[in-house]
Amino acid sequence: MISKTKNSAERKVMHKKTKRLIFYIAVVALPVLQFVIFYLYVNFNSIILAFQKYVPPAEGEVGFKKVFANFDNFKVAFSTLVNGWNMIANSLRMIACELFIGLPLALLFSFYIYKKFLLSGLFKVMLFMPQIISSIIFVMLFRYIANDVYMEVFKTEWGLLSSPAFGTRMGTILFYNVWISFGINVMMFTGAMTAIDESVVEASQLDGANLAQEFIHVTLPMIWGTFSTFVVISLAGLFTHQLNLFAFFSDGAADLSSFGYYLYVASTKKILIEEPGLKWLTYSQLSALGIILTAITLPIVLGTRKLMSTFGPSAE
Amino acid sequence: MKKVENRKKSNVAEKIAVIILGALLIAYSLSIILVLLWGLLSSLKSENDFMNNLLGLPTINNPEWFDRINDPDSSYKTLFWLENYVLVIRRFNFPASTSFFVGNREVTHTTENNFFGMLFNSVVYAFGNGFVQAIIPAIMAYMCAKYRYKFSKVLYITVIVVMTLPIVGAYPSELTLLRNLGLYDTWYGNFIQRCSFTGMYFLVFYEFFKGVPDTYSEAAEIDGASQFAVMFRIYIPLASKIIGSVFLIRFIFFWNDFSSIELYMPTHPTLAYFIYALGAGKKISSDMTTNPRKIAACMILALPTLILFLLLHNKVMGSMTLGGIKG
Amino acid sequence: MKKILSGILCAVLVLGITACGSLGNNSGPSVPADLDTKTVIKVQNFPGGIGSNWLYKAAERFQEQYKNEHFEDGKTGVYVDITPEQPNSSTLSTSAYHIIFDERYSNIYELAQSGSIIKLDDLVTEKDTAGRSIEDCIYVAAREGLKGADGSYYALPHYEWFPGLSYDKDNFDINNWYIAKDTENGRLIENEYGSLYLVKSASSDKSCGPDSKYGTDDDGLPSSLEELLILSGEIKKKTGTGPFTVTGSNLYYTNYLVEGLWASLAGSEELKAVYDFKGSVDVVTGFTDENLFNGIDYIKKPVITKTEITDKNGNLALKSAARYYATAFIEILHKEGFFSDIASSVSHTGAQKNFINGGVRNNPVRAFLVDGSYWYNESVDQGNFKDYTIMTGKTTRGVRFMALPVTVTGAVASSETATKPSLIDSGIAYAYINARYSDRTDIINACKTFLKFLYSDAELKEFTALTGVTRPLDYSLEDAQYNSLPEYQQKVYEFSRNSDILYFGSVNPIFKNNQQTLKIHFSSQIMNPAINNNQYKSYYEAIKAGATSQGVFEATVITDDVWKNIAANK
Repeated sequence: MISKTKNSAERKVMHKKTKRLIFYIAVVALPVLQFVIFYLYVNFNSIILAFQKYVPPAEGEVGFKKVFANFDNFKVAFSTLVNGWNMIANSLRMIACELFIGLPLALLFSFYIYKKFLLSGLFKVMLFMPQIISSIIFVMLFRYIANDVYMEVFKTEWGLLSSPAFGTRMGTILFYNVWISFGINVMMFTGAMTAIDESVVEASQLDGANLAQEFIHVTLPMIWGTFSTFVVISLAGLFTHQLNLFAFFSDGAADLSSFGYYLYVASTKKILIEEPGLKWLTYSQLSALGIILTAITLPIVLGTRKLMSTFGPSAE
Repeated sequence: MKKVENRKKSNVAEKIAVIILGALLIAYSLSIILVLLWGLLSSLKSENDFMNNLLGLPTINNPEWFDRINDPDSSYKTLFWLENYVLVIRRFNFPASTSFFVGNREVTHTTENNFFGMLFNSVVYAFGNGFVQAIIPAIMAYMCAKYRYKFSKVLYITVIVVMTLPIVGAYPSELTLLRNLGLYDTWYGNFIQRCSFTGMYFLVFYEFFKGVPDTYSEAAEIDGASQFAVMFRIYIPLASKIIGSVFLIRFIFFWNDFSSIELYMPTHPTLAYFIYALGAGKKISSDMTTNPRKIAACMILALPTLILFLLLHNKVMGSMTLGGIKG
Repeated sequence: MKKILSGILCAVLVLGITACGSLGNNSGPSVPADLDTKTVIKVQNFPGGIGSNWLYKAAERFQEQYKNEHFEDGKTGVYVDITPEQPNSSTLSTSAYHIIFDERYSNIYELAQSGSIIKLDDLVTEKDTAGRSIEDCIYVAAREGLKGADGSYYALPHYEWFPGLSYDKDNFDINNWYIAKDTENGRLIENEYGSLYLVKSASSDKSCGPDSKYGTDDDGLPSSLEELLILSGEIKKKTGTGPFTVTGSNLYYTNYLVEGLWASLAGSEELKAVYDFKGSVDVVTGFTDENLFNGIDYIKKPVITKTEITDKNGNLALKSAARYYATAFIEILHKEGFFSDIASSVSHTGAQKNFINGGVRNNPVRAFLVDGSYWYNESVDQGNFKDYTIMTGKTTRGVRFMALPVTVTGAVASSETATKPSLIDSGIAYAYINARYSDRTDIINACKTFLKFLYSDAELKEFTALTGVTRPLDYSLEDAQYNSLPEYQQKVYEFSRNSDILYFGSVNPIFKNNQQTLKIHFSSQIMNPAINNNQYKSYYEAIKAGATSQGVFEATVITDDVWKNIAANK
């Protein structure tokens, strides 16, 4: 009797577990299949490409041939990385601006909006505007303003983006990237902030917390998850962030180039066959470079995540 | 006594901080408005007027001119007849064609797209992709956050890895695949291709669902609700504000996207793609290349999203500030 | 809110589904109704520069002439379906086009090697009734660039154009900016760069110009960089504006001037060494402390050694003094403020407009335009000349493509025989047939017939008569055709027919196997310096960012080590 009920309870649990699993598989299967086909399968060929190279046909044949390249592509890719310190420096400049200016400002702006201070509705709309209007448009207008309008107003010989001084140009690009960056960040941050239970906020106010204390001890911990996600995303973009350089300068960004920009431009050059002295990388070498960069980025990103969740303010 | 004084001091500091923040935000708003206003004004000028008179209002009269309507320095036609805009809309005619192999069979797609055709493409492309890319990551993030199987961990790590992998040069194999499956350059192919759950929004949803206590589902399951009901009746609605935000973000992204059109949907040009094509020298008439006409084309592209946003922003953003899991 | 969104969404999705059916596969309205009964040749045409009008007109004549021909079984006549679009030679295997007209991006040698385009030997060498083949007509210098590794022809030459300067003849005439034959005919002008005698009046005798012969079109034009410099100083003093206008939105146009000056200062014999790796070149082996020009302390005289170029030291051909001088001149134009309009909102047609409108209302005169020889067409399309007429009431505008200086300092001594100008072809433009369709012999046959038609003597003339642009083949315009061209284009036509031109291509196997690295073109890596790992699209951009012309010059040579690898790659 006793063993019978135990058995049926066990069966019930088992049954529930199986149901859960079936449901899980049913929902997850299709997106995973999509991923396997459109990501794994597609990229598998690219990884193979990193170990291959194209060679011209032998006498009397036509058609390029793919041959095994050993680690040749990786050697070239590695030296590109070592020589590309200034592009990495530009990438780091951008990341630093994003992390230490863009994101903190976005947090403060979000807090202002969340607290519904004067005109917060309007500001929210304005902060989101650059997201609404195509980057092609903002880049185009901003370029006119930074060059022609600036020259007209200040009667200077050079515009901010056409200036011979690297600092002026870089500063302008960094400013632009921060300037248009608020939309999504502010939207997600305010979204997360409004999700904070009001009783927690009220409790802190009853405890006599002022605005700064509320921000530091209540708001920040509650949205830490969202915030750290954005930090991780910024870092993950270290080698892929283009800084809108292609929209600004097409393939002529020269000393402003970031690494992400370089990779993009190099892949538009569509070079298959290696020639001595050629400055751009072939497709195979680019694939190898991509793999190296992944190997560098991955630990940074995972490490930061770990750090942020371990040492971040707790939401208790 | 001291405590009260401190309190007062901090109140003053608080106010100053808020005022500074407010001033920053006002400056920011003004910068956005002025840039757009300058664009609007410039789009109403003739090329010569734009170059000679960068900051002023359009010039329509000058005693030096033989003919104040047709003079190249005059903005008469561009201001009163909206010549730049009319030209852009009239020239918004884009014959697109592509030809490719599906296995051994050759397929050719050809479309003739006028302004309104491209507008339609933009709408379908942005709405459809925005919807798919908001809901799929939400569902997958929910599954990973709430179903603690080993496979969920694998999926989570997969997303992180995918986001950090800057893979270059995968296009040829991707295109071949799409063509062989008959998905290339079609609407359904585009939507299937977009049903991807990887990306930053997966992580956002994941963090969100992690933060929602399991007590809801446990209670619901005791009440006899199915797994499906728990997901769609309880958790997904909880995330509806974020889903809405992600939809909006993706909608706008796809509205403004042009490079994927070039790659995957060559005979379904959108307006953004057309603006890009203008710059890239594809099948355009050379009189498009003046500065004010480029700006006018931009204004036309900006207008629909701007109107949509101004109409919906109260609802979208208002609902976002109402608070998440209270209800 | 949710209801609104989902409502719109549903509507849109439904529309989307219907759209697949309704909008998916329409064909253009311009296609004739009886298309199914005709052979269709699909042509992709590079749309920049000379446009596609010539092709539409030629296609009409071709269709008319072959309307009763059966290229395919069951079909009569032919229709040429033209798409003006930037070709992408790397995707030929999936391209829908049979014939492609491309400028500068297609590497014929590589395309032939990869089997992407078909052999045209039969078409090129077939003799016509007069016993002449297309090959006989193609300039010898232009033939190598059309061949694959097997020595066969895989392409036809499309058109040529030359980077360099144009000058404002109207304002030169008004202001007497020509150099005088002697002191008697001249008025002395002096500035920090030196002194010069310019003609006193329109009737004064002019100097012999760069070609060293009196009585030719280039009389009175500067024959040395020094003369050009002094003249530029004088013009700037007078107009208050930099005399050299160039587009600021595409700064690589400044490379046009480098290439033009390099070709001119090197002379055609020396210039050939950059592709052939033989002949003697004035090689820069160092720099002195001496200034090259008066009034300019940042350009130093180079140490020059005349060097015999061979396959072993082919890289030295790029160390030519002519290229250094051309680079230095760009630095001078930048630092002396001689460029104008170099703002990002000034497009190439915008710079042309400023050049044309020089002296009208309060527009300052821009004496020189940095652009390719084809620019006139673009300005006509853009309505620049029409606008000029509305503003001034004048119907003609005297502008000329310019013979560039051939020496660095002093002046060229006169002689009885003219020296031919040395130019570099930057068109690098070809016509070829996509090998994807090589098993469709009927279509290929139609394509070859069309190309043969286009490269007949009559059609070659029509091409130039309509575009004002020449093809590197031997043909001459009829008088009526010549007279119908605008003056500028008449002069470019004559100029190109009487110059020595460097075409892309060489019999040298080292060159053939390293074309990407060794190409000289405004977009190639020799013209795109990399300094401190930064890639610049022009010498000017590197100089503007702080590099010296010496630095740019050295950054764009090929080192001995790299050359060893290049020479081994043949």
